[in-house]
Amino acid sequence: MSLEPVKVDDEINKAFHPSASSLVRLRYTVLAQLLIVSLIPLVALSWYFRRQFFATLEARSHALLGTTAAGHAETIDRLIASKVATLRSLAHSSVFQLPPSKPEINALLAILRDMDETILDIGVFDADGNHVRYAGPFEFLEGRSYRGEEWFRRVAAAESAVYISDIYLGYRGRPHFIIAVRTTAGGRSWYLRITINPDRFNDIVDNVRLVEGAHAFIVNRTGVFQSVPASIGTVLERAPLLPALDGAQGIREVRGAGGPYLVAWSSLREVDWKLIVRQEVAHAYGPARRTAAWVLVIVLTSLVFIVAASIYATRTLVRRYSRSERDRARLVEQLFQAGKLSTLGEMAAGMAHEINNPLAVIVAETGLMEDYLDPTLGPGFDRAEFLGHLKSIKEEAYRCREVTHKLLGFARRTESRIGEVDLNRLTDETVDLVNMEIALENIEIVIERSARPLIVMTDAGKVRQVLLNLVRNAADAIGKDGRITISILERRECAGLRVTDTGCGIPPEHQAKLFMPFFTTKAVGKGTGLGLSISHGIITSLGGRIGVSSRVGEGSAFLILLPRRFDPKAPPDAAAMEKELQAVLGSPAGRG
Amino acid sequence: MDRKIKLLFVDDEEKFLTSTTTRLEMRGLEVHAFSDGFAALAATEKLDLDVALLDLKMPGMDGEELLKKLKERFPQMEVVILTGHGSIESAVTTTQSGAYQYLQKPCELDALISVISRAYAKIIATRRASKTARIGELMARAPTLTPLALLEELKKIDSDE
Repeated sequence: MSLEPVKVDDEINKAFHPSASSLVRLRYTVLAQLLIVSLIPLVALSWYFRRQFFATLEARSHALLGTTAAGHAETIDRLIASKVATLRSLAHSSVFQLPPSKPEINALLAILRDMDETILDIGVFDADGNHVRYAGPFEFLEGRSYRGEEWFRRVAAAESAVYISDIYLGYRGRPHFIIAVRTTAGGRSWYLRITINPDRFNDIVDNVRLVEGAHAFIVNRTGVFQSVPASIGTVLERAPLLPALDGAQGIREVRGAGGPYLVAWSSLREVDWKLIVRQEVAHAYGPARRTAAWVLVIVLTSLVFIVAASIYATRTLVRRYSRSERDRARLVEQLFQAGKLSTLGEMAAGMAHEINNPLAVIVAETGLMEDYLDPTLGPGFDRAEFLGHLKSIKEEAYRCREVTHKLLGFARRTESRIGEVDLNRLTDETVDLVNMEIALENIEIVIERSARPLIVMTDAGKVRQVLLNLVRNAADAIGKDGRITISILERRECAGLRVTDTGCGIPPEHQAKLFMPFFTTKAVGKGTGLGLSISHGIITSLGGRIGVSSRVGEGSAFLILLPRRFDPKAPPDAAAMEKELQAVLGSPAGRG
Repeated sequence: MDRKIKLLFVDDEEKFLTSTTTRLEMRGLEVHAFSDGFAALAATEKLDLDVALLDLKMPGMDGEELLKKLKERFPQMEVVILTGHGSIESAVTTTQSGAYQYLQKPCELDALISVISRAYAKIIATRRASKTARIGELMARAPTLTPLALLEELKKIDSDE
């Protein structure tokens, strides 16, 4: 029998095609997994490298600023040391007698200032602290007594005979600091002092532009500015935003009004001051932050691309999946149809008998009527006789029609449709069909109907196909003389059809293979081995279960369980159905 | 032919049985019709039948079984199968069981009568052959028999159908 292409209507597409909601669920699941797999490494890597980058950057900035501070402190130290050395060599030289004359000291200041423009003035003091000689802008200082001044007491007492003061105002009322040395001449102590112009000193100290946005200044041990650029403060003020300056060198980050600052410090050797280099963090990290911003842009762009690619890939995947599912459903449906056509073919052979017998009657009746009219044979026309024959011809013709109708009724129902089915009625129709085929094998078919009509939402055509297959199998198992009992079972969650026969039974080793395709014990040409596997496929596709219990020599019982309402979108719990199936099969009535 | 063909006709299809019986009788056959294999077999014992016309698919005893039993009890009887459920398998098995012909319903009455006639002709031929063989055998034994005994034997052979 050739298979015609089977038209698959929308209903069946819906039934066997994954529903829209499950496809949406699949799409989101796949998308989420794709995104998790691709984004987590990207984000983790970005975060890790960003952390590493900033840690390295911070270390580098700190090192750079610390080095700057140390280097600059060294420079300032050398500057001060050179002034001390100049003063000491002057004090011990024999260029002039102490105290020098006014012209001598003026000339000396000129020479000194020529060498070092930070030097403001110079003075000579006797052992009692009297300002004996002075050269510089503050002439009124000459002759004053410095006996009670801090610096004088210190340099007079100091071991090293050199003293460098902090910045102070002194008699002149202007900030300055001094370097004083003690010397001896003619058995008397003399003191030479130079004053350093803080403004010029500031310029030198702040002349550090090694690092962008950095400023250098000097504070004493109490945190008072000794040298400071005008943009930051003025000397003798307390320096703001200073961390605890522990140790000779260090670096800290401090928060201020203008944002966080990096503060590096380095102690001077010549004097108990600390050189501070302060840099705004924004300046320190600025270029790096720009790089980081670019990296962020690249990462975000990648994210967008990954998300877009994932969405596209998911959509393609789901579309292909859905297409292949549709193809699969179509193939399955074609297989079901093929099974049905094969059954139909087998039945057609058996049903020829059901057609040929009435045809034989019709031929015999008409022949007899001809014989009546044949003068050599019959007695001629007999009205009553003829009417009887015509009636029986008509009856036989109707018999033929009934057979073809039943057969076509089974063949025609190709469209799959879920609808309300009364299992009692469906069983009656099926038995009608089988009876035509097996009536003469002395097989009795008993239908055990449910107490009330058992209405199930399912595909009537398919269930009929399966039931027909089971009943025909049962008849084959019996051969001749036996009974087939079809029971319609009403269960709480589902409905059942049980076909019990008094046939040969199925050996245990065959029971496991029963529902496998192409498994058959029939002779070649008698069966395809597809009937039960197709039945299994059909029942499963309708959310039901099919099972068997059998004992060799006693018979077999096949059981179909169907959900009361089959909804392809929400298939019933297969495990629960299987449990129910085993429960019914295991019950004493379940066996043949 | 001064003797009617005696036909056993078994078919569960009553209407077919009666109308076909009538038609055959109209054509000079002696038809013994039964719709049941067991009844047919029981009646055959008393009737001296030539040809049997059997349906295959019947409730109770089917045609194949009846064929075997008839052939067993009346080896000379020729059996014609007339079935609505024709298949190569059943044709082969019935022929192997000794059926003379296998016909399928619906069948033209002339064809049916022709087959029955040929079956009957075969029976006649077989009977004659058997009679000739027996006479030949008797003549071979003749020297050992008394003339009276020989005459008796010949009469017996002649009267046997």
